[in-house]
Amino acid sequence: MSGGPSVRQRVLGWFHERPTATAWALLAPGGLFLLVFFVAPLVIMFGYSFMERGLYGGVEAGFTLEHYAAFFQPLYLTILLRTVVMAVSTTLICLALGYPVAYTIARAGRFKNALLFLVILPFWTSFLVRTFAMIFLMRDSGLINSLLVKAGLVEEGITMLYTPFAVMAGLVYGFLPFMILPIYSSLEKLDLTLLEAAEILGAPPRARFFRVVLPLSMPGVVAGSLLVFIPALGSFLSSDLLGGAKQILVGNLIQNQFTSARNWPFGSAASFVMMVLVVIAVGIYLRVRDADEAREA
Amino acid sequence: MDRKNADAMFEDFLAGRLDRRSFVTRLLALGASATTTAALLEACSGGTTETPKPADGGGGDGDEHAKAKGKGKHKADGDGENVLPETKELSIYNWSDYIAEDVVPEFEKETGIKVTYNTYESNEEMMAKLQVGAGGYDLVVPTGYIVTVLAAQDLLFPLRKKKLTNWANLHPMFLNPSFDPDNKYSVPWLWGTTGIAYRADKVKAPPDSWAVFHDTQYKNKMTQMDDQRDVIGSWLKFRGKSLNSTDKAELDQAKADALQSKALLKAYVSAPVKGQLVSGDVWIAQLWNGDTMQAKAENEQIAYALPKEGAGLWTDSLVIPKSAPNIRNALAFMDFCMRPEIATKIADFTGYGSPNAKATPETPIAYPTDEEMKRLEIQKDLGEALQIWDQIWTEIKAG
Repeated sequence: MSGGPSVRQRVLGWFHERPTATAWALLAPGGLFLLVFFVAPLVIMFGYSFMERGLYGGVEAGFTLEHYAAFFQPLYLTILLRTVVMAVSTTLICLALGYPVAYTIARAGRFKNALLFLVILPFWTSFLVRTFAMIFLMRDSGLINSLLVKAGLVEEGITMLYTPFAVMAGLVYGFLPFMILPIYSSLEKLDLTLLEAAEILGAPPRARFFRVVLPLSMPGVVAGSLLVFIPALGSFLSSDLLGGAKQILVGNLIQNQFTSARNWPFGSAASFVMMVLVVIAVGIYLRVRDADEAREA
Repeated sequence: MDRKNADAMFEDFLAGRLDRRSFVTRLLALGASATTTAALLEACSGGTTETPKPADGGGGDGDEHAKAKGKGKHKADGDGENVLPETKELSIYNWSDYIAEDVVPEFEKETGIKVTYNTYESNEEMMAKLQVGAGGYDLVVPTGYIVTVLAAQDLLFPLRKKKLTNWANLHPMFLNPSFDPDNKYSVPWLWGTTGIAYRADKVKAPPDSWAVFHDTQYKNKMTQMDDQRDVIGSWLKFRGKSLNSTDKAELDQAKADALQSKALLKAYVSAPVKGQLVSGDVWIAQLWNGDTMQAKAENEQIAYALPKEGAGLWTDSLVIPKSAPNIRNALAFMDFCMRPEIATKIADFTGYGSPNAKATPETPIAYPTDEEMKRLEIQKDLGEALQIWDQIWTEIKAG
């Protein structure tokens, strides 16, 4: 090997002349990962949803649409509706609580990083552990109640644990950071001179917020809402542990199909229906938003 | 808040609770429909990696061996190499709070085998893992009717009884059970009943019937287990029916009874209710006798009753999954636990009945009287009727 370019140089040169091949080579690892761990399981699940139920779990060969038909009966639709209401409420509460927090952090100057750190801190502990901590806080003889009683605010502890309130509290607590972080990131980029311009042009504070800040932070609001809404739709831990398993959500229903009910095809079908509904809902949401933006422009 | 109770319960949780829900956590991390995805993912990997099966034990069990080979599940043995491979590990998957704390360390010390110990909360949770080929467990502890199901699916490894030198210690009453004829796969572990735990200092009179869960004066102070077999089963018993009923009318009546009680129940919660019984948040709970004993150890006021209409009786057994990587050690552990002193320890700690005739535990409520024994019924697998049960359970939960 004297003179000529090294192997490395030749390889790089080859790629340099072929941008398309380069793009594929860079995409390959991630694409392969998604193919194996995302697409393949989905395909298998889709296949399962048309197969026959195995008596002891699993699936047996066959083709049927009965599992999809079974999902569209009042019992399961009621559960679906309840789940959607729960997920929408969680998203709205997270938005109401998270926006001011994100706004404050974005304006916090040198405390910014410290505050962000606090938002991320809970992720250092498993959600399960934190849910158990909430049980200790909310149970009849728990911390909140003993403080309320000691302070003389209530005679007897109020029932919080195993109520819809507890489920909602658990969901909001769990998903709030997913709302705060994207909103923070769009507010942080906000050009403050725009606010000055609005002020000089005579916009009162209210208008400055609703006509300048909010529209500019919409990408964050949309991202945060999706990040909260979608996992909230599939959650089952909170309703199990904090709701006392008294109110079943779609997540619980699907989980049961793979365990105690031993009906994997129905569980797969239910998951797929959920997924399609989520995709449609998100599609409509994004389209409406785009239409809004186009109109304003 | 009662500081001591909180600490005890938190320890309880750190020791067991986290593990038994780890399945749930993992799924949660993946989100909604990912529930399915995760299970399928495991099914997928389980299907492609054909675990090389260890060669067989001594020639004495040729019969079972031939059968296993005949089913094509085992790779053919190398000529004359009929030995289980020697490994230094053992993975046990058991119910929470279902062993004495020092049994595993003692076994490790004696054998030099490193034991991995995980716990679960329900038969179904354990079974779902075995079915997707996940876990790499060497020992699991299913309830009787689940042994039948696992065996029917060809998921169990037939016992090598020659390696179980302490077999003779078992009480004949627990041998050759209907769920596993001839104990082909299972070694009885513990047995117990599903009745009512209550706070003697809080209730007006000790509950003697499932009807107590219809008693409005205890509204919001009662729980039933988060298990369709136990909840629907209790209401079937309440009406004098079998807890294995598959009759639609009987099940509809049970649903109506369950819905009536649901309005009064604080929650559907299984083993974790112990902490709330101790703290007094819950006064009356459907619970197993042994777990009641464990709670009683922390609060003397907790007592146990078997309803007059009858209740569930069950035996849980040690079995070895077919995919187990350390079968030799699993057999060694089984044998270890059949020693009288170890069996005694396990029964004393858990509060459940020991199937070991030579064990000498001091657990009075583990043993129903002869008269009570007559009212108990053993759970059987529901087969096809499971779908009706699940529909009813979903209706109860959605109601």
